[in-house]
Amino acid sequence: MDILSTLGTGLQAFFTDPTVFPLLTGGVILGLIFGCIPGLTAALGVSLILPLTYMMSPIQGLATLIGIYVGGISGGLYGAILLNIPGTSASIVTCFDGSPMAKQGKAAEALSMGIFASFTGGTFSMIVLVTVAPLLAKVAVIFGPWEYTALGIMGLSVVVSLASKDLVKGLISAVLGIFLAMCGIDPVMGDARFTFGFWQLNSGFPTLATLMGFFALGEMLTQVRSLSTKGEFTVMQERVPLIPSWENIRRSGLALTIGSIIGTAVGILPGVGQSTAAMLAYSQTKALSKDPDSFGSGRIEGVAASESANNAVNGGAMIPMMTRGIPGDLVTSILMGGLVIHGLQPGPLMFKLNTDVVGSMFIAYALSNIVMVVVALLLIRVFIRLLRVPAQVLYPVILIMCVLGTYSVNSRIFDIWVLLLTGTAGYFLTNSGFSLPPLILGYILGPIVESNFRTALAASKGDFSSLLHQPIAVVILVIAALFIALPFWPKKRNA
Amino acid sequence: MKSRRFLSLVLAFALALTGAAHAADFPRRPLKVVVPFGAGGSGDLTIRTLLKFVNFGQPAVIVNMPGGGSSIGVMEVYNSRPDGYTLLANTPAGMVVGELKKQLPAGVTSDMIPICVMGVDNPMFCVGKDSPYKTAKEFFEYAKANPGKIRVGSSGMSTMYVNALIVMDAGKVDLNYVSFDSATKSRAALLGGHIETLIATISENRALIAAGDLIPLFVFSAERSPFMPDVPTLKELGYDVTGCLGTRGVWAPKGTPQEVVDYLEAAFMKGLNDPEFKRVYLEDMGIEPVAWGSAETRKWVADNTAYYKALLEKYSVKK
Repeated sequence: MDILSTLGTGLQAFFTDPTVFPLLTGGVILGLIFGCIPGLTAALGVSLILPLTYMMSPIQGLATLIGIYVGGISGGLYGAILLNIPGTSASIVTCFDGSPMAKQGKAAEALSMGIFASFTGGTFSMIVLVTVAPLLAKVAVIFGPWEYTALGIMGLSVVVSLASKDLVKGLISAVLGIFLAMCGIDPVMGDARFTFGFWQLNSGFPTLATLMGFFALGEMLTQVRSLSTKGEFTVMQERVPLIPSWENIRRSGLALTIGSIIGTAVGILPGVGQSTAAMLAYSQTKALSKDPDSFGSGRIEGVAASESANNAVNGGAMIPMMTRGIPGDLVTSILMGGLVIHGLQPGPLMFKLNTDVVGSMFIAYALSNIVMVVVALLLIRVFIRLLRVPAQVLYPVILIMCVLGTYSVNSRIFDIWVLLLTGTAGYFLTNSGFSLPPLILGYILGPIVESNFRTALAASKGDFSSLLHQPIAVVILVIAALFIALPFWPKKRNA
Repeated sequence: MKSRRFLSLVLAFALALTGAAHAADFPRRPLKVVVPFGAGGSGDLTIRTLLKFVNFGQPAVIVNMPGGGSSIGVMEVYNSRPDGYTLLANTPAGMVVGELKKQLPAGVTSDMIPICVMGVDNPMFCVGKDSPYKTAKEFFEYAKANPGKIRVGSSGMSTMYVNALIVMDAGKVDLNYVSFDSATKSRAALLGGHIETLIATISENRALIAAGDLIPLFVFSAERSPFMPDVPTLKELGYDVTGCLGTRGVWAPKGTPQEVVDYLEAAFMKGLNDPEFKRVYLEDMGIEPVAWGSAETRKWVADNTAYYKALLEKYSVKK
């Protein structure tokens, strides 16, 4: 399959229809709006617009949906940096350094780097998608239960490096996160756990409500205490540079590379997701930097790593979806539905029989990144003005959006209660010195480790040594052990 | 006296008319159809496609409520007002098994009123292209000779698990069932060689079958699937069983008035009998269209509940 001819066919199909590009642009803008409002997510945007695309041609529909996807994942950084409230769970990690930067008056720098990093990550994964997608399709299936278990454990070991200041509290947070994820029907055996017969808890604590509760609500409740003393949110620079300075780009080079690669790799593995990719990229960048302890107090590399990783996941996730019909994340699974409804079957045949659709999807993804950069940079000025709105007005509006967004996922009032509950819990946790990132890692990765571990053992009928037959898994576990040991290494030397 | 009688007759007549008028008033506002699965999956797309061919006079809005197998969505509709404005689009087999596994309170399936069944997305038993056994006969021989060695994967512990039990029970073979939390994960596991065999629905895997990456050995339905006419059924192989089929249906909560049920059933049946609808299902989506009404569905559920229950009880001892 010739790459250039596919792209050529795609370009032709894309631009023959003059409505496709405007639809794509509209999608990106809608995605950015959904992404920046806490409570509304890229997945929500895509699933709302999906039924409308049934009326359109496949290329029109896919261009719109891909635009929303790219915009949605990118949009979360505005809230993350300016308010310490991530617009989507993909941008949780951007808060760590983005918000301190904003408080130091460097919000514009952080924003422009975040957008630039999103573009870099997205474009990198686009290049990978276009050039080596069929080859990498194999990778998506090489990872079996043991490999996912090892990957999950490696992700959890990141907790140690993130919580190195107060390890015990960090571990408690992580365990609490794992516990929250355990409530509900066990994915492997189908038994209800910790539901106390309350059928509403059968599917556990809903993800969006929990994450938004801890990060958005918890943050707002914390900020509300000091509202009377504070006037404005952040001190904005007078001149707003739209493109990051060369020095910042140079400094973040390593972060951008790590983020793009990790993001693409995580995207290819079904079921891991943007927030995990961002955390892994962040912790790697931190570990490899000369001054790891300064991360969390406003290092621009942190923003670069997080945003490039979460956007790179998009392209990565499209690889197994298009080549094998195995979606890499939630949005790609909805995109797949979009393909099926038009009678297209993602898989190797689609590359042969519907080259124009495949090519258009590549072009759509590439163009979405470009459109996103342009629109997102222009939106910086809009957001700066938005910050002049006093917190007493802004926070309730955000709260309403969180409630609406949470409700719109499953149409359940129960989800809203979870939002309020976790928000309150998040407030108390943060104020007792328990940091939230380990909790989120536990919440997201706990189930991955558990269900894959049990599946691996079920497949081997309880034989633990079957792990040793999987070299990839062993290597990942060794890396995980290193992650755990490394933060302690220098201390041992000094003692 | 006579005028009074006449008056009461007129009154009775008028009242009877208002009863009919009420039925004709339905629906007066949009209907809500709850899909207990995520957007974009087979359970979601089947009802969306059907609704395009059905006319209630009012729009029907789809609400996705995934979670807990399908139990969250089912319970929402079960607990909703039985006025015909809230419906459930689900797989009867899933509800039956959900009840047996105590994910749903007992009696939910028999309490809910079936309106119709729109299509059947049958499961099939398949292997990868590097498998040492490529026909059903070879598979059963290999399985008998190697008890406990062959792994069969699928999504979840409900209907697909029952299908695996059916294979083991009818074929008298000992397979190792490995459950994954989604159909795509189980499919990826087969392609990656982590499991030897897979039970999956036909509609989601047509591309892989056409490409030769998945080889179907047999199907669980009573008759051969129109999508793979060369693949035998379990019955033809000598095992007098059918599996847990992926029938997609529509349900109303208990207590919905009969006229409303009849109206809905008639509206759905009209759409189900539309040849264009049948074509879309068959060609575009890979699902066999059917047009079962309320009574047929109820019979199917009753017949199969006892069978699945016996299977689950027989094999739960082994835990």
